[in-house]
Amino acid sequence: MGLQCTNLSRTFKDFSVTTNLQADDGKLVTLLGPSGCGKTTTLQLIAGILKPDKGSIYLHGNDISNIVPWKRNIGIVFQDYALFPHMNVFKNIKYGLQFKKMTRDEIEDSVHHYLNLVRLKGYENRTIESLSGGEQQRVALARALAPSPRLLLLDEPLSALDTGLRKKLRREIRRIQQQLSITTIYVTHDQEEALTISDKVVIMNNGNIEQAGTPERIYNNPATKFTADFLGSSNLLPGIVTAASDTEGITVKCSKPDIFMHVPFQENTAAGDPVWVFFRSRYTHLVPKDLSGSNCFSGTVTCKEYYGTYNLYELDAAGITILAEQPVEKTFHIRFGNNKKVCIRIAPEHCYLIKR
Amino acid sequence: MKAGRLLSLSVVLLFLTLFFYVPVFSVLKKAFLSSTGAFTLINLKTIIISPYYRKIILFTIEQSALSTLFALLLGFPGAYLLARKNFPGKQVLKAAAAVPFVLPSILAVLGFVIFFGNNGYINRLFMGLFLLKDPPFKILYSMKAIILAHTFYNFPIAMRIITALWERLSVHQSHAAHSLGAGRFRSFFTITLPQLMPAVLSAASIIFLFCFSSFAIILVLGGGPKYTTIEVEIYRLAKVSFNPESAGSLAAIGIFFSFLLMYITLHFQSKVSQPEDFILPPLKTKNTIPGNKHINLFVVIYLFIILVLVAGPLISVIIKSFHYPVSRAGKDFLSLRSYAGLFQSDEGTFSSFTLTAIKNSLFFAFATVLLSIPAGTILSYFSVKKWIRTTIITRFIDTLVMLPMIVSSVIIGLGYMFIRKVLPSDGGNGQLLIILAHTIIAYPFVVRSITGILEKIKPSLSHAAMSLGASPFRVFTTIEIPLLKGAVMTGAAFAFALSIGELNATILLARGKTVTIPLALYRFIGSYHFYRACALGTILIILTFAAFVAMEKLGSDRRRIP
Repeated sequence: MGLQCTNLSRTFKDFSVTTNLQADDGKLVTLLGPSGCGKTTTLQLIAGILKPDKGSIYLHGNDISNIVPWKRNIGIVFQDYALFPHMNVFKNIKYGLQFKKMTRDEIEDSVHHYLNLVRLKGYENRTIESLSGGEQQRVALARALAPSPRLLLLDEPLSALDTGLRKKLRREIRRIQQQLSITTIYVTHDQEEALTISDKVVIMNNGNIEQAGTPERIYNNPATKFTADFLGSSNLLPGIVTAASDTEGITVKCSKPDIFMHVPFQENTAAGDPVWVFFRSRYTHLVPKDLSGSNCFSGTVTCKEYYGTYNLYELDAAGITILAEQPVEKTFHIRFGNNKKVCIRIAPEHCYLIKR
Repeated sequence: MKAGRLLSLSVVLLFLTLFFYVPVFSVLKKAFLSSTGAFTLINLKTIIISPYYRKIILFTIEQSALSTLFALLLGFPGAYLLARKNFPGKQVLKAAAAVPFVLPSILAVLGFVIFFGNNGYINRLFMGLFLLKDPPFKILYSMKAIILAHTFYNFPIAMRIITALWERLSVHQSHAAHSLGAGRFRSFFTITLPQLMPAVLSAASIIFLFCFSSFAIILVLGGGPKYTTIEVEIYRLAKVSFNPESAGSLAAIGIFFSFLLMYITLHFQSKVSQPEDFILPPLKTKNTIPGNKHINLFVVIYLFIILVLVAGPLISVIIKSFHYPVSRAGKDFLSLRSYAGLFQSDEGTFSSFTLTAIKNSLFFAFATVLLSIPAGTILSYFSVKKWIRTTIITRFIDTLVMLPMIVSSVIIGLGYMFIRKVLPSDGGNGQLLIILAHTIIAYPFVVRSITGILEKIKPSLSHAAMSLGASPFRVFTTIEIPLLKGAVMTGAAFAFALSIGELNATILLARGKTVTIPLALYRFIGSYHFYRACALGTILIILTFAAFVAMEKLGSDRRRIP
C-alpha cells in the first residue's frame, strides 16, 4: 500500500474534513470536488502543513503523522507553483537536493536529469519571472520530483493555465508519473481532468468522501446523487422500486413523470426502496411522435444548444428538467423547435439506480 | 520557538512602554494632574480660555488647512500624469517626488531661505533680469513662506496616494462614459473624481496632520510670535520659559487633534482599499495614454514648477556652499572657505563643534538603525504571521505599535524631559535619550517597510521549502531573509535618514555640548551664517543620499515578489 489515511480529520470553525483515503503504490489518485470541499485541506494534512485532530497517515507502511513536514519526503506542486522568486531555475530545483547527502556533481546531474524530464533543457539560468505559466509549472514539477519523494502531491497544478496547455500538460504529468511510477495524489475540480488522468478518482463533498473508484466506475455507476450531478450532464428521476429480481430486472414507479422505468438488476435493491433513476444525457433518444410503454415519456423542448458534433436539448417533463444530447447526424433532418412536444426514451441498460 | 517569539515580542513591547508610553503619559499627567496629584482640568481650561493660546491653536489649524489645500492642488495634476500618461521625464517626476520624504526639515528650511529669501537666488535672478533695486519677492518670515514650504514638503504625499488609486481605476470607465455621451469634463466630474475622493480625503487628512505638527519650518520661516503653532509653543514653554504645566496641557490638546486626524485618515484609508472585485488591478500599459500637444505643454510646465520647487532649494544650498563673500554685503565667489570654516573656530584653530555634530549625528543614526531594525522586524513578524491567535490582542498590539507615528516628535521629546530623572543615566548630555527618541520615531517606518513585503510572501513558498526538506530555521534563512533583504534595507535607510535629520525631539533633549548636524544647522541659520550652513547642509544631503544608495546596493537583489 502506498498511502493509507485512516479517519484523518481536522475541524475548523464552521467546517470539518474527515477522510479515509487509499492510494496503491505507483498509482495516481485524484481528489475531485467543488471548491471548499476539503481537497486541499486533505492534501495539507498529508503534507504536514496542517496538523490533524485525529487519524493516522501511513506512507509505505510507516506512520508519518508525527513526523515534521520537512522530514516527510513528500513532494508538492502548489496551485501558484510557489517558485522561489529570488532563485533561478537551477537553484529552485537544487533547493531540495542540498538537504540530502549528495556531492555537488551528483546534485548538478540530478538537476539536469529532472530538467530534461520536464523538457526544459537549457533553462538552468533563467529567472522565474522570465518563464511562461506552463514553464513555471514544469519547473515546479521538476523541483518537487528532484529529491525523489516517496509521495507526490499536486494541488490543482493546471488551474492557472488555459485549456489547450492544460490538456497538453496533464498528459505530460501522467507520462512522468507513470515513468517514475510514483504514488501521486492529484487535486482538481475539473472532472474531465480527473477522468482522463487518474487510476482512481475520489469524489469529495462537504469535507467527506462521497465515492472512490476507477474513472469508469464513478462515471457510469455513481453511488450518490452528488457524484452523478458533479460529473455532469446527468438526469435523475425520483421513484420507488416496485419489483426487483435478478432475472427480470428492476421496475421503478416514477412519480414525476408518472411512468414505469425498467432497470437492470442491482445488488441490495428491494421493492419499496426510494431511488433515483439515473441516466446520462447522451443515452436519451428523442422521437417526434408519441410512444407508449415503459422507459418512455413525453416532454416539451425549452432550449436547444448546438455543440458541433451534437445538439443538447433541455426539456421539461412534468416539471422535471431533462437534458438530452443528440448526435447531429441522427437529428439533422428532424427539427425540435422550442415548445415542441417530443417523446424521450432511454434503453434499460443505460439506467442505473441511486439510493435516495 | 514559541517561547523565543513571545520573549522577543515582550522585550520590544517593554521598550515601547518605557520609552514611548511612559513619557507620553507623563505629558498627559502634567496636563491633567494638579500639584497635589488630584485630577484637574484647570490647566487645560487656562489654555483654552487664554486668547493668546487660542490664537496659536487657530493659527495652527489655519496654516494646516491652507497648506493642505495647496499641496492637494499641486499634487493632483502630478497624480493624473503618473497614473494616466506616458511622457519623457516620468521617472524624474517620481524621483523628485521622493525627495521631500527623506529630506530633513531643517534642510528644507535652509534651502528655502537660500532660494526664496530676500537675498536668495530667485530674487537675485529677477533683480538682475529686470534691473530692480529691491527684491520683488518678500516671502520669508511670513505666512506665505510657511504655506509654500509645506506645499513643497507635502504635495508628493497627495500625488502618491491619489496616483495609487487612480492607477487602479480602469480607463475603460471613461471610455464607457464617453460612449454614453459624457464629454471629458463631465466624465471626469461624474465618473473619475467621485471614485478618487477617498484618496483625496485620505491624503488631505494626513497632510493636515503633518502640517499640524510641523516644527522646524514654523520655527525658522515663521519667524516670531505672530506665526507660532502648538508645536513651536510647546518647545518655547518647555525650553525657554520653563512652564511644564502649560507645555503639557498644550501637548494634550495637540495629541487630541492628532488622534482626531488619524481617525479621519484611517476612516478614508479603509475606503481606499476597497474589495478587489470593485476595482481592477493596475492595467499598467493599457491604462496610460501617450500625450498629445496640449498635454505635452502641460507636462513641461508642471515638471518645470516641480523642479523649481523641489530641486531649486536643494541645488541652491549646494551651489552656495561652494561660494564665499568677499565682504559682508558684497558679491560671493567660488571658494571652499565655507567648508574650511566649518572645521575652524574663530580663533583659527581646528574647531571641534561641527566635527562633533557630524560624529554625533552619524553615531545616533547608526544606533537608531541598530535598534529600530530588530524591533521593526519582530513587530512585523508578529503582525503578519499572527503570532498570537486572539484577534483582539493582535489588533490591540498593532494599534499600540503604530501610535508613535501619530504623536509628534516634539511631544515625545517633551515627555522625555519630564521623566529624565527616572530614565537610565545618560551622563547629563542627553545622548542616550536622543537615540531612544529617534528609535521611537523611526521604527514605525521600518515596520511599514517590512510588513509591506512580508505580507506579499505567500505561505506556499514556506510550505514548498518545507516539503523539500527545509526546517523552519532554514526556511527563514534561505527564503524569508533573502526576500526581505530589500525591505529591511529600505527600512534602515529611512531610519538613518530620519535620525540624521531629526531636529524636533533633539532640540528638546540635547544638553550641554551635545550637538547634531540639524542642531548646528539651526544655530548657523539663527546666527545668519548661511555659507557655513550651506556647507554643512551639503554634507547632510550627501550623507542622506549615501545612506539610500548604500542600502539600495546592499539590498539590490530585490526581485518582484509574486
